[in-house]
Amino acid sequence: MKLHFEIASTFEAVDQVVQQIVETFKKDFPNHPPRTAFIIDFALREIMNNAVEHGNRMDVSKRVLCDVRVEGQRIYLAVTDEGSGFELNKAIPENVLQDLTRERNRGLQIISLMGFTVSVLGSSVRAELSLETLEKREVIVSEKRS
Amino acid sequence: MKSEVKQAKLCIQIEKDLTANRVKGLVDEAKRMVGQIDNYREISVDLSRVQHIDSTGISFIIGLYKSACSNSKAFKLTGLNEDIFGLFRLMKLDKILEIETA
Repeated sequence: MKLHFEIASTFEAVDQVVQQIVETFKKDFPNHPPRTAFIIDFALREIMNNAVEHGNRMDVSKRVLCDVRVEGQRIYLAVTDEGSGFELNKAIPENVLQDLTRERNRGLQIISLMGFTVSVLGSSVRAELSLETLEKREVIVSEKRS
Repeated sequence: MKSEVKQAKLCIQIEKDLTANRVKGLVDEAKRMVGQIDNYREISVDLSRVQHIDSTGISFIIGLYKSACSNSKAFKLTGLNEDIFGLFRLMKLDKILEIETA
């Protein structure tokens, strides 16, 4: 699976393209559990919403590029905006991350907790996930719960 | 978003996904709902119709929780599907919020 999209900087456009990508993933890879599609949906929304809001500052004339690739058991997401970029380790101060009831600055932290490896190169955010590792971990967690 | 007061509970039903494109419209509506009436002791938010959520949606829930706390009301989330409950656990929000799964 290899997809490329270019969208306007709106949350509506993000919603539409994420639905399209996730439906394609579910159709092309029907053997993955629904939880995997949920995680991909969440990660894509976070990275693309950040690009719209912080990268392109809601300027509808600016574009967001999104590339999604599945190779073997790995999925690669890449989102590029027209902003000036940011440094990942300086994006959110540690004391903010400790506050469970904060109302902002959660997205990238959650994606990392989900198992994605996130990197930033200029105004491009890349996230990579081993689907195999994710699904093995999910099985262990549900076995522990039951 | 629908709401009604039943047995001293302000029950809020979220009718669609809690994603950035939808949350903006809900924030003002929720503030109005919570601020206008006071004949309840608990806010109960039903997420059974929510399939997708993003961090904007989570912030919306936290905003409601803070609103409840500042008005000395109890707060509860109900009807979360397994995926959304897993997300709240991942963020340790199950430690501060009362949550009932579907």
